[in-house]
Amino acid sequence: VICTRVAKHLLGDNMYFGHRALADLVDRETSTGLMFMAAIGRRPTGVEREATDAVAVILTSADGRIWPLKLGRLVASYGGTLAGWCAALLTMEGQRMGPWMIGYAARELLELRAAAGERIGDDEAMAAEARRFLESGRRISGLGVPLREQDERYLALEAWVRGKGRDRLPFWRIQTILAAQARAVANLSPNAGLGVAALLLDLGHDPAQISALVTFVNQNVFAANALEAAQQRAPDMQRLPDECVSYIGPPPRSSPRHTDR
Amino acid sequence: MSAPEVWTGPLDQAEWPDTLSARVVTPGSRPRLHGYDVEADLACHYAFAEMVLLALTGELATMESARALDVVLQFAAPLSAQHAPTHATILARLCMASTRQMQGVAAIALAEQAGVLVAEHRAWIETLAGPLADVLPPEVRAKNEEERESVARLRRALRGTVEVPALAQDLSRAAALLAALHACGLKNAETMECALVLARLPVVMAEALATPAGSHRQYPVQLPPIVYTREPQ
Repeated sequence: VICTRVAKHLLGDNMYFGHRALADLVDRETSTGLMFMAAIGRRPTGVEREATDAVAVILTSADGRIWPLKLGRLVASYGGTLAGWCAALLTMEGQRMGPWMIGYAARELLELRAAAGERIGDDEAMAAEARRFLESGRRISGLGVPLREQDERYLALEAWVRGKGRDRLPFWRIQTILAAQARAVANLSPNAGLGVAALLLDLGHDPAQISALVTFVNQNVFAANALEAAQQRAPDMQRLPDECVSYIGPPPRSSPRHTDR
Repeated sequence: MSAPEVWTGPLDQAEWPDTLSARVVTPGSRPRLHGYDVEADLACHYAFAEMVLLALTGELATMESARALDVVLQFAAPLSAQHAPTHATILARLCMASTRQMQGVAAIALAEQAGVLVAEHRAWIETLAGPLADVLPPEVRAKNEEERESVARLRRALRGTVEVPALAQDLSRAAALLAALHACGLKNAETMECALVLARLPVVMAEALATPAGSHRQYPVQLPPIVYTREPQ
């Protein structure tokens, strides 16, 4: 038997994570809240809904030239919106790029907090631990900003968190210290993923939930590109002109069977 | 009339290559695969399995390797309706999905299945590169007599093709197929995954296409049973 917490179809209503969709949720829950429920399994509190909305808006970086969005547009260029949307999403379930990566950034922060142990309230000790973390040489999710010095989304989130008085919460402090050390030790800036991970850890979510939640509420960026590309059916997306492709593989050669005959 | 606003950002300011690099197939109307003319050479003198080995390894394989790949792909191909990729594609058909949508479903599910199988055998695949140990790790040993018989049939079918020393051991069917793929020249996990998906896609599609489109009521919706466990709050 497979157990599900998600839903059950009833005569006259639909259960969704313990709530009757029509009787309990209409006019009482938002689409953000429904996505939150999909990832976390319960309705969000007011603070969680507000934070999730802020994350969704702040992570709206939807330039169609950004790699995963571009690949979604390429697949959608034959007219299939959902094919493009799915294709772009398929590439996200990893630790290098996109919203799913934010769960991995959360794991880094949890690891750093565990390494600090009792000294978690001591900023100097945390900074020393963060330096050790950085000097290990491994790639740390949530650090690194391509093509610019700072991630504008990180700065916007930082301002939002400060405005809400959440900047003294434990994981926000840890990420602030890690970010400062990353700048000093490795010349790396924090990206939005690090800040979002800290914000959601401070709200009590675990890394797996964070990956799912952020990816679910970040759907607008994939959907918008896939829909537009499907409508455009651009020939240059379906096939680049020959002169736009440089072949750098093996030179022309003949097979032994061809040469023999 | 004011000039249109010009929007620029980091993607506009950075330096990028002018062309997309291709490393396997030449662009244009006279394609070459790893340097070999497809239409005037490969298509005239080589079987499809040989072209697959060339594509995945970069070099022409021996006829024995290609014949062996043919055997392994056929052993790997049948995936009945009980398996998630076929089951999911049948459901796509029941949902009136188009052929391209069903192929998308099948390809994703097959890739997931092959990826997990190969990941579970990663240590075994690494072992295949060197001398085989006398004692097999438990995860690659045959679990029952049916597996042993299937591996024996694989050994017989591969006679006269390539040597697969690992098949002399008491292997599970999956470990035996991966060993045989390795002996064909597909030495790494990535190319093995590709071969498994390639083998299974037509068979999965055939099963789905044989299902009457839109026949929802003929589908056993309770298999396997899914039970809602959370009480209303």
